[in-house]
Amino acid sequence: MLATRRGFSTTTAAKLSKTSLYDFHVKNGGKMVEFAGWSMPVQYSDLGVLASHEWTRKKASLFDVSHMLQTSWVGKDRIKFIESLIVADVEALPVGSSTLSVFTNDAGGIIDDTVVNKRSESSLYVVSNAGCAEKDLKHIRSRLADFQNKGADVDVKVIDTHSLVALQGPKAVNIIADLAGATNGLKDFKFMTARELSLKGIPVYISRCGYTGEDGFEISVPHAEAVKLSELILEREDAKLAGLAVRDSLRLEAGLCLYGHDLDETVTPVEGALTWTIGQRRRTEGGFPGSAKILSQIGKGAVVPRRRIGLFVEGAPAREHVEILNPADGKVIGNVTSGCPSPVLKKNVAMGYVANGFHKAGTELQVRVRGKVQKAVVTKMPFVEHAYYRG
Amino acid sequence: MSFAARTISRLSVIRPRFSTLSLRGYATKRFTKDHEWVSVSDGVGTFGISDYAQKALGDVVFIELPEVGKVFAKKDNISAVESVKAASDIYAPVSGEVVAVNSALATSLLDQL
Repeated sequence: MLATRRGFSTTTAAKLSKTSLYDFHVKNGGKMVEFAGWSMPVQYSDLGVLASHEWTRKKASLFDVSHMLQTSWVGKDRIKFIESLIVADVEALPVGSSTLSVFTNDAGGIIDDTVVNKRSESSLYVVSNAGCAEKDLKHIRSRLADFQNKGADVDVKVIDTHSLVALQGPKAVNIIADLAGATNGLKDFKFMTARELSLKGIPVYISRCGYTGEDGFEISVPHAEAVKLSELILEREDAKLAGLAVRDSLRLEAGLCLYGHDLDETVTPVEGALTWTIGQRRRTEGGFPGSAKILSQIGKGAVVPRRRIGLFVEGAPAREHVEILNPADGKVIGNVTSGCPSPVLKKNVAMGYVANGFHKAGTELQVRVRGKVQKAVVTKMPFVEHAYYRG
Repeated sequence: MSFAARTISRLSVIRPRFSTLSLRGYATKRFTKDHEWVSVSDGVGTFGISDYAQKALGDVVFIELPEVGKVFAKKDNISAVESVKAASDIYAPVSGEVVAVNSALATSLLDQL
């Protein structure tokens, strides 16, 4: 036993990248592990995963997510360029607003999921997964070269000047409003928008978004100020540091995908239950890689071979790779891609893919965990309601 | 979770095939390299996982117990102990037949939070 399964490994760091908060994590009891080539805190010594999960849903947790890729897209043709890579309608996005989207490949599969923010009339601010950073940049730069060679005015730059921290939970807004000296309690700062703020004199670019299902913020802060900002936040009794382990149980309860597990290059946005990320205009115009395949899966006569679903599972938790069975004949009709016991619901939740036809909410299925067949039922996600601030 | 912390380490009672571990009148506790322990007394062995192992697992939320009557060979996968993040397989430290399980562990520990 004690074989870790999730892809975290405690290695004596050989050539791992460190964020600007590395020493700060260690000082605060962070248990450092390797993740996507970075040394990151999986949890902190004073707080177990369950307690940290509960804290995030009731108070506010501070996460270092500086390992994620932040890029800046500029130039007259930046919107045209990004629309040639993702499924969003970026043209229609209001200044200051953000949207979740996906980079697609020529087969219609998902290269990565990403949040795109229209930062100003002249630039886009884009955040994507740490585990896909190398792949994303290679893909973007290759397509960028093609565009530039045709005379387009566009450039994509990695933001290597800023760290990224996330403050998530119902008390996050009180803390940020206080640090910002905002007399209106940030009532006008809605979910999926971003703005420049000064937090006790520290200039940041802050988005009201996150990946936990809670209200909260992701804060892009200059490297030199990341520790100071974190310390200012942690001075508040409602804030505690949280590591990567609890991010997984939080996003799973919120029904949010983890790239590399619930999404990968073989999954189209439609199969991944992300059809909503495809802008209306994009559904008629296309223009993103794999659009023919993807658009053939939408509308009348569409053929969608498999679908991402949520499950409640009885018995032992069903985790990645567990087979999903048709109770009628015991045949395998899909597999689980993520799962865990839900601390909030006190039942097992899971995400997976099943053959088309078995995906409707309420469908009774089975899973086979360590050889034992257990009952499961298709459930709408999110499992735990989102608490996003919509004004 | 102190209830679980105290009792988790005692998972099953096995009647071993070979009681090489027992001396007359003594219960001898032996450990495997994988953090299982077994203590044999009068031909009946009690086994569980070490305190080090249960601490390393963190918050345990689910334990799969073997069925009474089931016969295992040494190193068979006999149980699993789960935290929120991961499941850890537990292997039989000796061969034998399960004669009792610690039923206090049978219900999902999440209910006790």
